[in-house]
Amino acid sequence: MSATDPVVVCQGLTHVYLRGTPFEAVALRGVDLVVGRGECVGVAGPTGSGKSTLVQHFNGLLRPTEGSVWVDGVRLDGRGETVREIRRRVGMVFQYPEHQLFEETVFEDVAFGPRNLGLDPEEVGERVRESLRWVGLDPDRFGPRSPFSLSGGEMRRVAIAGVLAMRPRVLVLDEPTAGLDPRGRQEILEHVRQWRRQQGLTVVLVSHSMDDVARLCDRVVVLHRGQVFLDAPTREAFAQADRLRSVGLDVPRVTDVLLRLRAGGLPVRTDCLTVEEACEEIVRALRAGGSAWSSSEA
Amino acid sequence: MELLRSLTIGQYVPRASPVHRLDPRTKVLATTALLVVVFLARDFAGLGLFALFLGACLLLAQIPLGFVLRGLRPIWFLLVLTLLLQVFFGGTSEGTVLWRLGPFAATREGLVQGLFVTARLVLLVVATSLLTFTTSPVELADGMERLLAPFRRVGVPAHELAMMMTIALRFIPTLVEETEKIMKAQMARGADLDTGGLVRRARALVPILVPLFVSAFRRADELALAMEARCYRGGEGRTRMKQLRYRRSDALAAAVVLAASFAVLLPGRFRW
Amino acid sequence: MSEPTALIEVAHLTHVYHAGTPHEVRAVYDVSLTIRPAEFVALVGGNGSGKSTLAKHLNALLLPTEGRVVVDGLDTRDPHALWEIRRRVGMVFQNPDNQIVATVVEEDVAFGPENLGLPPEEIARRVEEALRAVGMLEYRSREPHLLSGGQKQRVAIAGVLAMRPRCIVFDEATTMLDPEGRREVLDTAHQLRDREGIAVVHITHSMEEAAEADRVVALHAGRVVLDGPPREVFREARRLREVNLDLPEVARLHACLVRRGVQLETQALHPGELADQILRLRRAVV
Repeated sequence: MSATDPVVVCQGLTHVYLRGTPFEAVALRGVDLVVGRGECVGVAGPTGSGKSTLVQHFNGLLRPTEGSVWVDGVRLDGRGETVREIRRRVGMVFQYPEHQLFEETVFEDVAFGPRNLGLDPEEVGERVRESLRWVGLDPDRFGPRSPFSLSGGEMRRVAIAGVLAMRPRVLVLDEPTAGLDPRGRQEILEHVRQWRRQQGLTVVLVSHSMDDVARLCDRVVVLHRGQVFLDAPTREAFAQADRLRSVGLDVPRVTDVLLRLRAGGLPVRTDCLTVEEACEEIVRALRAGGSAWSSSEA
Repeated sequence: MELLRSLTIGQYVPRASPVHRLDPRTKVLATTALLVVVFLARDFAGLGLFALFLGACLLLAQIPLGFVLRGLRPIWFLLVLTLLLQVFFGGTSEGTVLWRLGPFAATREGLVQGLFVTARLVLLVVATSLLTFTTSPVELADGMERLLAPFRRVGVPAHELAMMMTIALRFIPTLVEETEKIMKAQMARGADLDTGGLVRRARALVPILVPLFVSAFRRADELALAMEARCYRGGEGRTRMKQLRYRRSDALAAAVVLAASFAVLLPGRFRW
Repeated sequence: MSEPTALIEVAHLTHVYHAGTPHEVRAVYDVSLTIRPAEFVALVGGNGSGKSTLAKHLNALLLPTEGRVVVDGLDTRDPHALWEIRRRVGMVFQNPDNQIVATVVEEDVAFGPENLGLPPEEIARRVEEALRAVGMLEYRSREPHLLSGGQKQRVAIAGVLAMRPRCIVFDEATTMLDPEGRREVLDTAHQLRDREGIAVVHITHSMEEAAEADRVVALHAGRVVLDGPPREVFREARRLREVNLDLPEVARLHACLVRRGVQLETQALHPGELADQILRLRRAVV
């Protein structure tokens, strides 16, 4: 899926912080990565593995110390115009994005991005309303309100709307579900899924929640100490539980159950990602084995 | 930004020297005395002795010369300006003219005066740097609090001031990190912080400052609650784990500073 | 129900914010609850369920609009008991940064005992004990901003521990942490309960974390809707879903299998448990 139409390409990407000082730290080491158009790629790894550093190269916030980054065929070389153009195309939602709200009204804050793009007021207005609708907020009700009068979850949605209003083609999300309760988490992930479908967005999801990655992404790239440790379709990646655990990550709990069952002699697939899939698979394996369980077939 | 985050605030250089080990109160008082002395010095000999004394202290404190010079970098402009002002305007109009530049005359007296004043400035900065190189910000806050404590009776809020200082120091790296994050988030939305004149750039700071302030207020709220949950109720009845104690080395240091001050200020010192 | 052995007793607690104004909000309504010594209670609920408000009553950061909260025999409304209550019931907050006051770890841990006016040698002793108990002794001279989230929370726990509390309330203390940090904090909480007999009230919206407690109390719209051991509470799948909560993943898988006719034992909350139950089925035939 990726090789055909690459939208982000990293070649030998290396990033060193504070080079030449006693605090020098290598955050990324020779990372090769390709993100294909329309893909949803998860970037996973323990804290300090370089995930945030990596994605900040995609919109020019950071520049490679060595190696290169290409977005939409254009090489990011630190020049002002290229960078400005890139920020139009690659939108980034940081962790706890609600902390970036600053305007007097929700409308004004969401309009910040489009205005920086130099669009005319009519277009700006349209984009603001559309973006608010995309995040499930009624523009008439919420537009005139102060962002600081909203609940935490609503504030987060306003912040995301602010990024969507730039109409990016690639959306990078850094821990979008951080600090949310299960319902909030589900809603955000569902929204991301919708946007992907409706707008053909390419999504890069940075997360240390393997559950989120499992639910949303086609492919997982696992970073460990600044290097690519694993780059595979989601199911394949989760089937390698031992490797993941060796770098301090874990697999979804249902995968854990399946792995234990397999170790105990029940031949089950271990690449199931949801409760329903796992349930199906276990039932199938039990039936195939002819074990004693209730005769009522479901 | 990252550099700021990695360094602790101020110029504190951790070392295990005798100067570092002195009670911070001794160092604060000594520095104050030395600053007064440097202003009262009348001749180059005095300044020279002062410089020697500072040099010896820096050596004892294991502070590399490079640090000292780097500390002077922010004010090099001021030094040059002072020197030039003195050279051209410091002497009297009847002084020996060394050089003319249009209507301006550089006099020998002005030059001498200029060098003196500039040297004094340099020594001033180095003397204060000595304090901050050898005393961590926390120690400074502690020392100031204990020194001001007796003045609580006349209404000086020593404890509150020290608490404010430690909390501010504690949060500076955190706020720097947050500023960086906010800047990146706004830049990702197309904010431009580099172009334009003064007014434009000032306005471009609003999307950074507003969230920062909002966040700072929220932190203050949460911190206050956490402090209350740990039974904080102001300075009344509070004890401290770290006790400051004067030792022999402090008395010795005080004596040395006194002696140096005499040497620097006493006129006619070389005549006996 | 007033047990003599209750550590914290909450009786018909109601809390209304901004009472009498147009912004009036009733966060907690008629909640009655008992926390026993050395009990590990998980308090769960979605956003807006009132769990954080309830938590702040346990150490008198908030006072009841109606009802009573009694901590170790002391009424939270009694202004003279305030500081003793806060000593006995410590609290660790959600944001790891916004509860650390000092620039050096050990000085922050000393903050609480200093407020209690203890002699310096006693404070130093307690600081060392507390840091050792949370496994952070080697970080005693570090600056807090260089620590990870989990480490900061452990420092906060030490700061509370140094006041020798009988109960520690974790007010969503794991919400902002990564999986490793969450594990660190939870393990520490369990250890403190097991080794020191300190009661723990763990406020969370993670059902997996709740499954590790002795008792789960579920809140919704300010009221207690479920209160019992995890296995009991997680049997009420429908009720939980009604109040926007869910079962831990393993329990959901268990329920799914049971619905499909697989004859499993009552309940499973952990992966190992469920796997064992299923494997036991196979062995019955072989």
